[in-house]
Amino acid sequence: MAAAAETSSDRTLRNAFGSVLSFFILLLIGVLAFSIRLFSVIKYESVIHEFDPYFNYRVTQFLTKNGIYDFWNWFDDRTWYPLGRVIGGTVYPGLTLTAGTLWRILNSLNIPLSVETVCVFTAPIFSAFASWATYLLTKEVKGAGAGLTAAVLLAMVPSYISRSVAGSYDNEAVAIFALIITFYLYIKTLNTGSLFYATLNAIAYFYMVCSWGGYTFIINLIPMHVLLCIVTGRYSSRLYIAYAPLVVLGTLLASLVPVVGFNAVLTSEHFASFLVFIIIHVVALVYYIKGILSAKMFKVAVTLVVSIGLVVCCAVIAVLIALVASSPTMGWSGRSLSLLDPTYASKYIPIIASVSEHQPPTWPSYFMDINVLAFLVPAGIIACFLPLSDASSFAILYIVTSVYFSGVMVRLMLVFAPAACIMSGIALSQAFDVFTRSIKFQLPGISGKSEFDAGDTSSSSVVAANDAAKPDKSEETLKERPSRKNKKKEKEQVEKASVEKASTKSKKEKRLLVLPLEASVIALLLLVFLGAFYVVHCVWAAAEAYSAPSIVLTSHSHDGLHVFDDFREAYAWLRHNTEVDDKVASWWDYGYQTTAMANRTVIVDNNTWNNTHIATVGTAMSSPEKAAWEIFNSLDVKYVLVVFGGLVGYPSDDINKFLWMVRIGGGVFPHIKEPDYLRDGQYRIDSQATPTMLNCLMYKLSYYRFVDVDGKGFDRVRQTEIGKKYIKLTHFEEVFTTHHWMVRIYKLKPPRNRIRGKTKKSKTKTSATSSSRKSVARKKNPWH
Amino acid sequence: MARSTSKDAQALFQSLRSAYVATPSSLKIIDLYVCFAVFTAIIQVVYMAVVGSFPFNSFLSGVLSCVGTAVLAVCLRIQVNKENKEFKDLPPERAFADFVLCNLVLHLVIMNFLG
Amino acid sequence: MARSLAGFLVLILAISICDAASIFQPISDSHRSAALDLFKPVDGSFASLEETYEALRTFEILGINKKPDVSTATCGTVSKALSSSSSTPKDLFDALRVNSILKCKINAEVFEGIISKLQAAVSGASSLHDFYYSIGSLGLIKDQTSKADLHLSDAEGIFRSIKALSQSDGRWRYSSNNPESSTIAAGVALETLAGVVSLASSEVDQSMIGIVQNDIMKLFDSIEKYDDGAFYFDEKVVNVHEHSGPLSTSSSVVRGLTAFTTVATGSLNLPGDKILGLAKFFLGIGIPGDSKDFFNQIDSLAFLESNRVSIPLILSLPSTVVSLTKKENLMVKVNTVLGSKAPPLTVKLVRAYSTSSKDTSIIENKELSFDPERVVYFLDALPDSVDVGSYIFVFKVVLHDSERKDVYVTGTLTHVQIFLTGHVKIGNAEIAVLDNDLGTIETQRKLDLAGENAVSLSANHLQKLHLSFQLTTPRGSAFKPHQAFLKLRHETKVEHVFLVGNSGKKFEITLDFLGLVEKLFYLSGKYDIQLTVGDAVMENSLLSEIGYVELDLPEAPEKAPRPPPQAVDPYSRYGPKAEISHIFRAPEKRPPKELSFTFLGLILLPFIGFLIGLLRLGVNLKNFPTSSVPATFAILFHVGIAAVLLLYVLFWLKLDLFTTLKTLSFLGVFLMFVGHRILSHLASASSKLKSG
Repeated sequence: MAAAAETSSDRTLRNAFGSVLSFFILLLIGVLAFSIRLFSVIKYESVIHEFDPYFNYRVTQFLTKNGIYDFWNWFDDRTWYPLGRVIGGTVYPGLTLTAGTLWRILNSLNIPLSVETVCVFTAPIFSAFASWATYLLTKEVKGAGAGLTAAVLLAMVPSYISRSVAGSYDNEAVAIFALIITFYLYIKTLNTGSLFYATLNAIAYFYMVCSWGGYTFIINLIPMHVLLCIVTGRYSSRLYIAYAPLVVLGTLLASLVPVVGFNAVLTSEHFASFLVFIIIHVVALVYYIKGILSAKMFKVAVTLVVSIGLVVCCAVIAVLIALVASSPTMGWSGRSLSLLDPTYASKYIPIIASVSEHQPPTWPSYFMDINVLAFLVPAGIIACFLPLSDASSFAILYIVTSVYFSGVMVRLMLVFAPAACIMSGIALSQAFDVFTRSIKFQLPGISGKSEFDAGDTSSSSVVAANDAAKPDKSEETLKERPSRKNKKKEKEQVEKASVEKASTKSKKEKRLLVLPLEASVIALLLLVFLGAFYVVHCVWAAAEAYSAPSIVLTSHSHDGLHVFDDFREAYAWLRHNTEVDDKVASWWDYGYQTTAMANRTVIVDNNTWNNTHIATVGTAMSSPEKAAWEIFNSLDVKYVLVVFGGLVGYPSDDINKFLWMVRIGGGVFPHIKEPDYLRDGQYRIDSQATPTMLNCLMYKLSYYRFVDVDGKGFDRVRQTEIGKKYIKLTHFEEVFTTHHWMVRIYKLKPPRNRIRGKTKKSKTKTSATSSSRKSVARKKNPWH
Repeated sequence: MARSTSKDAQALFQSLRSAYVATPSSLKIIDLYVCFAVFTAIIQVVYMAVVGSFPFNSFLSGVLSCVGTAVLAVCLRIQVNKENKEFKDLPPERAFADFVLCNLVLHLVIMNFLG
Repeated sequence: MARSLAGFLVLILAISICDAASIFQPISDSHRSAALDLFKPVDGSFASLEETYEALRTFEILGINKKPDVSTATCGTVSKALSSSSSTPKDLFDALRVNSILKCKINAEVFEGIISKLQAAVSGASSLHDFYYSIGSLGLIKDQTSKADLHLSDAEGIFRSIKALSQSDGRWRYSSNNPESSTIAAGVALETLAGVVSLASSEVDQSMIGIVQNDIMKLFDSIEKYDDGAFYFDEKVVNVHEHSGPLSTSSSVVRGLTAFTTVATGSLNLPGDKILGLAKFFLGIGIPGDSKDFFNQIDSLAFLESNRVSIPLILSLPSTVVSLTKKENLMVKVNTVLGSKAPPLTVKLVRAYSTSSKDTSIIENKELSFDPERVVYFLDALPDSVDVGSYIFVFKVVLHDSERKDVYVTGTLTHVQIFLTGHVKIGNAEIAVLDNDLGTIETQRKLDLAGENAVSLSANHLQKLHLSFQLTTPRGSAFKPHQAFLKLRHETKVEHVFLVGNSGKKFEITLDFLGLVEKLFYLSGKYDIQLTVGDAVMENSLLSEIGYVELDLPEAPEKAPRPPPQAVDPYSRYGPKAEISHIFRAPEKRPPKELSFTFLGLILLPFIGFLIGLLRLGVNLKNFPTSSVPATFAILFHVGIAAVLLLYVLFWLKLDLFTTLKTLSFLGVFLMFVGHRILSHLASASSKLKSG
């Protein structure tokens, strides 16, 4: 910090000092990012969280046990009975491979950690990496100060915490890191224009493709940026070097991932990149010719080349259009379509719509997830616009698109969060920059104050430290061509260059931006308060809101803390009390957990690749008991598992999800009609409920014997008394109900083996035989 | 009008040739290399159009390897081009090293994808 | 309901049949053929000597001449078994038994050795089987080698020691140290005792024989009885050893009994009916599938036939079904168990009564006349009062000369169930469709149930279907068959069966469709009508398709019962399922070879062009470092690149990813090093050149 006060004479020492300082700050940021995500482990225990992580955990176990080649062609017969599922070909292997490699490395170092532990702590580790990657990216965009600020912000942005607390072992945990590092490498290549970074960029993109389906965001965003640059006439051969190899290598690498495969060239999520690839070649040709020709000849050339280029482009576009039209669903998979057209999913794919994280977010959720950043983002955008460089234009594009996508789907807040962090990091650092400088120019004495204020948000210190490095950057981005090369030379030269620039510049700034002292001090204080508020909010979110592993629940009540461990209780019961190859039917949310924790075969699970199968289960759940029994028996299901929160007030139970079962089931089997379950348009389970509702299987299984608890069967989730209190099950029998009734397991009764007519006959026969017994008292000769 | 355009075209080609003759031979070699790659790619595409793209991965890797090498060669050419102001400070040897590295990675992927 | 009642009837019938005493056929040619199938020598000999003996003995008893010739192969084994010193008494016993039939040539000193060995064995024997085998062997030797001086030295002692194993209830223990007593052991013991007595040098004390006979009587108290007059022995404790069914048990007892009675002088008055019952038991088995059982059956029957006490005579009927209309005669045969001829005797028909009414007998004390050439006794004429039906005939066999009464046992009375069948006349059968309210006949058809009918009727749900016919026996009285069903079958294979009730001699059924719509599942359309009239004594039982009735029934209401799914026939259910044919993806069409090769050639063209172009541009290697160290580095650099590319080719050909990556990492480091060296050298050179 003292470096900030140093005069410009010994700038080298100061700069070295600043770099070391920033290094330590980065280290601290990493620690912060890691440790803020450990609340879940501290408050609960080191468990895998909700649903998908359990699948990933299971896959990782398989990988560590059987090796990678078995993993590639692993056909899982424990799920989607009787279809089964080809895991190796349908899963994004990045997360699994990462954790598996971590585990292997640790074991080879004789650090005996269990696979589960490694899985639990993968997400925090990668969030630390992600914050460092953010630093690098923002540094490329707007210098180190902004980088540090952005890194700090990202280290504790709630929406990212929500997906990467210890134990939430999900693709996004590593995907965000991959996303940011890919963007960083792209920008880096764009700035340096070296093939080396282009290669790294392609590899990072490969990692992203391995990790998450969201890679289409990258492969669409980067071409958009390239197109933007071309259109705004900022084409440079660095752009070509940054883009063209990425497309070729990236496409090849992407098609190496089994789950993507040939989609990388066949589906139209990727066509944009190819189109831009062609365009950039045309443009490159144009620029080249322009370069080697004289002006007047170029006039002539333009006419020809442009016309030819146009022809070529039109042809290619026509081809692409044809391809898109030919490919199914216009070549766009359902999720991408629901991205472009927010109402698409709810219209066509109830499965996608049924997932809460695919719903559009609400404004409070914005505030909850990226608290004050929401206000800082516009400032950041403005800061990016002056001066506009390739990198900053990319950042702007990134924020704009991600804002749109996050508006479509809640889970894409995750993509939006890094952009917001970068933007607000830029904004904060610029603001601090301006204020501190104005203070410094007015009275150099108090400049210690700024540092004292700035001390809270550890970033601002380095903002002060590197403020001199920034203006020349911002200026060299103004007229890039000459100044670019400075970055290639040694630091000395950079500093030298920046020295005189800064000195010349600072003279200007004396006149230019001088704010009144009080104003700047107050503004600084306000900014610090803002940051403090942000930190408080993030810590609260990490501690309270996002660290609950929905497998173990707690509730505070007047008489202390209650822990509901019913899920694991139920799964343990299944694991210990049922045959190994029994089939358990439940709604698909619980499929992964059942296979992972109870090791039983399930009918449907959370990767919803077969809508019909899920619809079958939904139909069974929403049909009357006998029909349901027949459906389940045809799937030779032995046990049915329902989740019921009515006793303890656990809101996300099957009764609340029931309408989705009806919709999904009705989507395939039209005899299930949603209106039958709604009493004049509203969903109710009390005495006003429709008879269809009261007789459907889900209702019966949920409320069976519920009235015995309190005399009147009061559902604490729906806050009402249930409509049908005394329920009699004929085809199912209750075999297990957990302590708080949250999971109830029923067994299908074996089919009745005689029908009435036969029983009557057999009765007469028995009577006859008995009479005959009387008549034949003696022993009969068996030989006659 | 047509005459004028044709004349312009001829003039254009004249100037183009003259300009191109001026380029150093190393760049010419690279250009030759690029043309070689591009033509190979084109032949493969024609083959695909004639026969059909059954071993799709083989076709893809074949074409993309050619395109990739071409693209990388173009990048190399851009970087070692003396006229190009942006890369004055980038020594051609460094550029060549990057080029080699990039090619090696590319062909590793190609081999993996060739099946 | 109708079906269930049918089942009930059948059950009652079965009961009534097994009420009556069933009859036993003596051994016949079917046994002989079965014997040839059961005892098949594998390549000229049987598995063991014991089996050989059983086979040969069976053939001998049944008098089978074309028996498989095993003598040459077997004699070898016999002589080996006899001469070998390691053979146990059991082996010797089996060998000697076989020899007793085959009469192989065994020289005398072999016997000498055996005799001494056996004597020792007898004296040292503790368990029953030891006694049995050794003494049996000695007896056999005595028979085969006419050695009069072969005696048991201490017959009395041996007798006592065997007797010591007997139990109070007439059964024996296998050895003194296992407590459980068995009936088979009794048979074995008796046989052994018989052997002892026959081998005894001096006369055995009568008192002991008396005791043994007393035991036999006690043993016969434990005999068990089937309801059809068959007696048999059985083990109290099952699984004493493997063959311990009633068959083997009784046969062993019979063997022992007969053997003992042959040697024992004192007369032993066994109840003849029990002997007969045993015979009946063995005969009742029919033809057992197991060779061991077969042997036991035949062997013990042979003993029964040849015993001294009482030879059972079996009364049998060629057929128990006599047709009245064909005027057949009731025939009766009387043979010994093995089917040989019986002494002159007369068969009396004591009485015959109907199964339904036991007390009213239709025939009393009638003597059957004898047909000498067919050796059958036949009842010449049944009185006219006898009508079709099932009757119980009670026969009695009386021997002519009375002094042989104690030799042959005939049993007191033999109850036989006889079916007198006849052709039942079916009279004025007609089918009609009546209106519901007042039974006015709408359409009526006459039926000829014996012949073909093709009646086509049509009715709606307000009408009735009425069917009636009469059954009269040959004697002109009313006949009530066991089965009289009317079956309606819809096109959709849904069947309904109605029981045709009878009033007096007239059978009629009226289907009121109004009441039946529910039962018919509201299925309108064509119903085939099928009439079933059947009885055991009815020679012309019929199952005739009468025709069809076209029904139009009202529409099914909402909650009408669905027709039940048709039962798949068990053969299709348990039979082989249709084979699953797997569908594989059709292989992609491959281009013709030459086309591919041409394109391969085409691919080479640009490369050639590339080379030509290089030549035309004049590639110069003047940049190539001249000084040695950088030159080597340069060469190494190119070599490294070549190596990596070669590695890639290998990777494509056979290596897997990880080995490739490992090697690649080493190569990469090497390449980076040399590459850096050479390139930096070049760079410095060029910069020098630029500067200088």
